Amino acid sequence: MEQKQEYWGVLAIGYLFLAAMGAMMFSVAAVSDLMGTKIVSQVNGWVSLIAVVAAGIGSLFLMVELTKIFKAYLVYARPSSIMCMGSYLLSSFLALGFIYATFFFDFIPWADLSLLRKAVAGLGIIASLGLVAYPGLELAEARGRTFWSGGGLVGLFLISGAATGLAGVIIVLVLFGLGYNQYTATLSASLLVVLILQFVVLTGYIRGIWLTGAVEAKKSAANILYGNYRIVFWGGVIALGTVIPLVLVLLSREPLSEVLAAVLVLFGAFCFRSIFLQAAIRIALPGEEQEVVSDREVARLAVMLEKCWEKKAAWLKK
Amino acid sequence: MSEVKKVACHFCHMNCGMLASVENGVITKVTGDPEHPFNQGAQCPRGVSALDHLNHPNRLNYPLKQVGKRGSGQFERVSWEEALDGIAARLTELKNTYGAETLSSLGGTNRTDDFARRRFFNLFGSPNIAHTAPVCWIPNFLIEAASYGWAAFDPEIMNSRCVVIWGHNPAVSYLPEMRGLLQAKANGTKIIVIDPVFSETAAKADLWLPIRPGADNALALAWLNVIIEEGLYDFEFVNEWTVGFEELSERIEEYTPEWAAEKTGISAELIREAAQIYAAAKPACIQWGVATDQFGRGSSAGAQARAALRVICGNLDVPGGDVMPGPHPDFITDWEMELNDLLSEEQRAKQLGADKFKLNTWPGYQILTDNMVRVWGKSIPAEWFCEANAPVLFRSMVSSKPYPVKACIVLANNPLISYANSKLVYQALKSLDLLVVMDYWMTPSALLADYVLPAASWLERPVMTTTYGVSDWLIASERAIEPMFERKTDVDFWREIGCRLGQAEYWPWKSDEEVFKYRLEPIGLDVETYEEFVQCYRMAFAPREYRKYQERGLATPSGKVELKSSILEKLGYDPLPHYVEPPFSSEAKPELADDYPLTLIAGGGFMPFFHSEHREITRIRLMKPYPRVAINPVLADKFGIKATDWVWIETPTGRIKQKALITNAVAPDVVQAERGWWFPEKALIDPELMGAFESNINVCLDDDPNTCDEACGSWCTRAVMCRISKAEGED
Amino acid sequence: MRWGMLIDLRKCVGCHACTIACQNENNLPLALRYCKIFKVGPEGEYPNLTSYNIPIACMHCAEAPCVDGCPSGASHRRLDGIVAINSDKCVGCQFCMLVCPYGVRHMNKKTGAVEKCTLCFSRLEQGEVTRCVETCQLKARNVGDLDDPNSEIVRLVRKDNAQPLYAHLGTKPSIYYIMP
Ligand SMILES: Nc1nc2c(c(=O)[nH]1)N[C@H]1C(S)=C(S)[C@@H](COP(=O)(O)OP(=O)(O)OC[C@H]3O[C@@H](n4cnc5c(=O)[nH]c(N)nc54)[C@H](O)[C@@H]3O)O[C@H]1N2
Ligand SMILES: Nc1nc2c(c(=O)[nH]1)N[C@H]1C(S)=C(S)[C@@H](COP(=O)(O)OP(=O)(O)OC[C@H]3O[C@@H](n4cnc5c(=O)[nH]c(N)nc54)[C@H](O)[C@@H]3O)O[C@H]1N2
Ligand code: SF4
Ligand code: SF4
Ligand code: SF4
Ligand code: SF4
Ligand code: SF4
Ligand SMILES: [Mo]
Repeated sequence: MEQKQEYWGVLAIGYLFLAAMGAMMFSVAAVSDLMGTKIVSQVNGWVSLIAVVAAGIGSLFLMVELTKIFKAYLVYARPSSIMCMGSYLLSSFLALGFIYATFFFDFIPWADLSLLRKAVAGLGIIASLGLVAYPGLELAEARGRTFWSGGGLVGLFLISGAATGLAGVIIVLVLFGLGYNQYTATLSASLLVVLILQFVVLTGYIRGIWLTGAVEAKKSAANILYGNYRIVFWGGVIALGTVIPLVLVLLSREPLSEVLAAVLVLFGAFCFRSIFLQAAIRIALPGEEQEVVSDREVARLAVMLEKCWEKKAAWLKK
Repeated sequence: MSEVKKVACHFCHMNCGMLASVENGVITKVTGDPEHPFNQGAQCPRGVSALDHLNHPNRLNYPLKQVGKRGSGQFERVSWEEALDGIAARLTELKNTYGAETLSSLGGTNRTDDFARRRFFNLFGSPNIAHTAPVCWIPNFLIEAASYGWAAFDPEIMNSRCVVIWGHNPAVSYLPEMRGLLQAKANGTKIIVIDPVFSETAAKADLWLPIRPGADNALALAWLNVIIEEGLYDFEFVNEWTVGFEELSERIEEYTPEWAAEKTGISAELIREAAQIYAAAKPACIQWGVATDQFGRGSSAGAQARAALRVICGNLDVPGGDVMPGPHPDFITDWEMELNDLLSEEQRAKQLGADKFKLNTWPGYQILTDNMVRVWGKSIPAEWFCEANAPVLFRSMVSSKPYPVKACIVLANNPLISYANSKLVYQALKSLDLLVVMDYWMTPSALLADYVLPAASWLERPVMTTTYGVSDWLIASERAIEPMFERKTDVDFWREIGCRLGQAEYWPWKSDEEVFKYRLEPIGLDVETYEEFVQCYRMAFAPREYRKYQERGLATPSGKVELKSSILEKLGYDPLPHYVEPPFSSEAKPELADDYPLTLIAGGGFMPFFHSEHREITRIRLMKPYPRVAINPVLADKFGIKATDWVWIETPTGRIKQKALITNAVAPDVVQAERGWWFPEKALIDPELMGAFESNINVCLDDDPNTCDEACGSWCTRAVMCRISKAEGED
Repeated sequence: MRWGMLIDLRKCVGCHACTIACQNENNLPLALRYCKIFKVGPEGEYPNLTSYNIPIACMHCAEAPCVDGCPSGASHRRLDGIVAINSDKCVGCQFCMLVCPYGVRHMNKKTGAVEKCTLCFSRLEQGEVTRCVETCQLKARNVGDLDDPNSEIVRLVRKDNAQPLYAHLGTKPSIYYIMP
């Protein structure tokens, strides 16, 4: 049986993480803007630029993983596929995020058109929420990986995304020297709520699957709770990524501890995505778990043997 | 120009029909021939890889001569002229010094045209050809021949009500046969499999008897007991056509199912039930495999019991029973090609092992032949059925006793890997003055040779199938292309070396095709060439007749089935079925039981390899890259062995390592090691010899002649005390 | 028209001929196998055992996640029911590999495209059977039109109540198995 999901590896994890963080940073910024928060005018330009760059880097990761980068445009070819939809969402987000950012720089001619800015913000929020949510639907397409089935993933990705978005914005604020104010306080409070939610929903989701899921989903969940991924899960996602930042945010409003909390949240979210991507093993084919020579081993042997035959052929000829 | 040639695969004895597409002298495709009766268009993994075999970069393409120390791997390419002249000169020299019997030959299974080998040897004057024959088919065949004048080796499974598959695993050994078996099963034929391992065939059986390794003789005797005591036998046939039934009945009284239960590990009830099923099904047949030839001492005794079972149940030569073909009346058989008459009595008497193992050497062969010629007009070939005993031969090479054996031609055989007691075989080969190996590959055995000669394979030569020369039919196939590089056919080799040694008048043919044409002529078909026969007819089957004994009688001294065999009696053997304990069992050697608490099965074919061959074909190799020893999970647990761990397998004779295959298919006190392993990718030098002693299970097997079958000299591979341990730190 | 295959697991002995024949037919790199054979068991305790072999390649699903999910349209379902890949269009995102429940897709590093069993459509188009059907010594395989009620394959599927593997996943495979 498959020990872990190996097709989509660290680059895909990086993409999911960066895209979600970027998108939710943007959302936080844009929502704040729409709610009329004054302070955003000082940071939103940079926040959304950073968000776009992050998501952009993420999308580069995706491109790198393609075998035919020069044909990457083909990912737009079949709009009915969820991957393709994702590409559109990503592109729209990058475009909207960038345009939105321009409104905050005075030398841009349209910087004053606040109505237009708000419209862009609104569209951007839709795109970014879509961008964070669609991987949940995308992964759910893998019917043989029941750990991902069911709509639950969308919620999880949104919650974890929200945490990273808030954390990202908090970091930017602190870096801009805007650590102590009503706005950051609100963000921290929201983070607190989101983290509590994250804790409850995440552990609930995994335990739920562990208790009631299909065989392979149970195995995935067990691997997370007690198996290969237990350290990353309990240590990375829960302790470092949820509980400690939660406590930090609760106890202190020091900029340093805020940044620390935010960084830990980001780290936890990265761990979360990496676990969720890798742990989802495929339904085992009959007899598959009895196979002891892995495909990778076969490939290695093939190269080794062919080399040996070549050498031996030369020996036989001499 | 493109054409399609009708060829035959020779990667195993099935000789499946193939079609080779040839374009301008290059084969572009080899597929199964849908019109061929055996494979009906199919190919097993080896057949599928025909072109990989033909074109492999490591195939031998030119004659090589060892110029350094033997085994040093310092070969030099020489011309065929030079090689053949050199070999002929050495042979003449050795013959003059030591006598013709100093030349021996080693063969393996039936992969080439062995009548030519025998023809050469008869003309040269040496009786010392050995094959792996004693562990492959021959004891069973000869015991049957002694009992009823030929072997009933053609079970008509399709019309049978019950088939007993005894120590045989056609689901890996003979796939086309397995197809037939499953078809029969689908039609309601009951399949009983007797095997200590839950084999691929056992998995498809109606009834599997999980016998303790080596206990088959006991089981067969108990079946006889049940069938005779309960009166389940065929009274009429027994009365009219057999002698010795009284004695048999007396003899088997002691072999009750209760007695056998302890030895076989099968309950007395199950033994009884299985015997009743077999006896009640009419017609039924027994299909034995080579496990039953490989028990060492007692192999023949077991065969005697099985032969008696068929006979008393009335299955001999009846439709749907154990059909006994006899020779083809017309075409020239292998026996006729061999010129055995030209070997003098004096030389026959020198055959190594003939004083001890009399049934498959000249003493027994002569009696069998006299009877067969009387009834059938022809006998079975001396090749396989009348041979020097390999364990004795190897000892003679080492010790020069009773006389020096100084030369050996190894052809179509990898003796270092295939014969038991590999380290002794190694010593033996190293003791020779002249070792010639003709093969497709640089095998470990070839690495020790003075001359290594490149053989042409089945796409490069015609193939004529006669199943060890004992079938009453033949299937002919043509060559697809001329031999590539400087490869030569085996027949060409024997002819050319023969001509250099004054045998020219006996080798009037210029090609394999001419030989085969000559053999076909008596059939009386109007064909110009051999190829024409292949294209137009391809096969010659004698008309199928049953109960041939009614007209001809049986080819035994009494003309009846001899349940008490006068031939065995004359040769000094027990003429009736009897129990013999397996030579390396705790029963025979209780003193070793504590040190070696497990039972080793050192054999059993497996896909996709054929014995020691095909390990260079990458696609095939990748299917099973490592040697594997089957271990029950309970046993594995005990030793802390996990899947793919290297495991030492050890007997008093030697130890090797294989990788653990943890499986319920074997009992907790039994391990089954794969046979045939060496590693063509490893060091090409003596003594590593490409890992010939690393994982080769024959390193662990003893072939002491005193432990070999009394009549046929078969060594034991199937029930050997052993122990295992985890091989720590092995890669 | 819907091409499908029937594999009789009562017959398959796990010889791997189909695996290698398929590799040759499709000129595959040594380590790439469209069709794998898994041995199931022996299950139980010696000597009460059962065991069988199961060949697994693309199931040519009528509702194929690999096709639905492919962003480039490289993976597609042909009119004859065969799920095929246009390797020129494949960008190598491997999403199809992720979503295929049967694990039968492989990245061919040489071509940079994902590959899998083609059901030998070019052979079928020429009136030949697939290479794996042709080579099977046990005649464990059958290929035919699942939409034709009079075809041999449909008759056999009915007779022995053959079922697809993991029908519950809902991909509607075109490969049927007769269970042992
Ligand atoms: N422990 C153990 N030992 C066994 C067995 C067992 O079950 N257990 N089985 C025994 C049995 S049944 C047998 S038959 C033997 C088999 O023993 P072998 O016949 O020695 O086995 P192969 O590995 O097939 O070796 C044949 C060699 O001949 C070469 N060859 C093949 N065809 C030709 C040809 O046409 N011409 C020439 N010149 N060379 C050719 C091949 O490349 C190969 O190197 O092993 C026996 N040994
Ligand atoms: N794939 C493949 N096919 C081959 C060959 C090959 O090497 N590979 N070799 C060919 C040759 S030369 C031959 S002779 C035939 C041989 O083919 P078979 O006659 O089938 O003989 P094996 O495969 O050696 O062993 C058959 C069965 O004997 C069982 N067995 C082991 N010990 C015992 C025992 O004590 N009692 C009983 N009753 N059974 C036992 C094994 O578990 C195995 O399932 O196969 C031929 N076909
Ligand atoms: S090796 Fe395979 S294809 Fe060749 S004759 Fe034997 S069974 Fe047939
Ligand atoms: S060729 Fe036939 S018997 Fe062999 S593995 Fe394939 S389906 Fe099974
Ligand atoms: S088996 Fe996998 S690759 Fe084949 S059609 Fe179904 S989902 Fe696609
Ligand atoms: S890897 Fe190729 S075939 Fe698979 S989904 Fe991506 S583009 Fe489509
Ligand atoms: S149908 Fe063709 S491509 Fe598919 S597994 Fe069989 S041989 Fe391979
Ligand atoms: Mo054999």
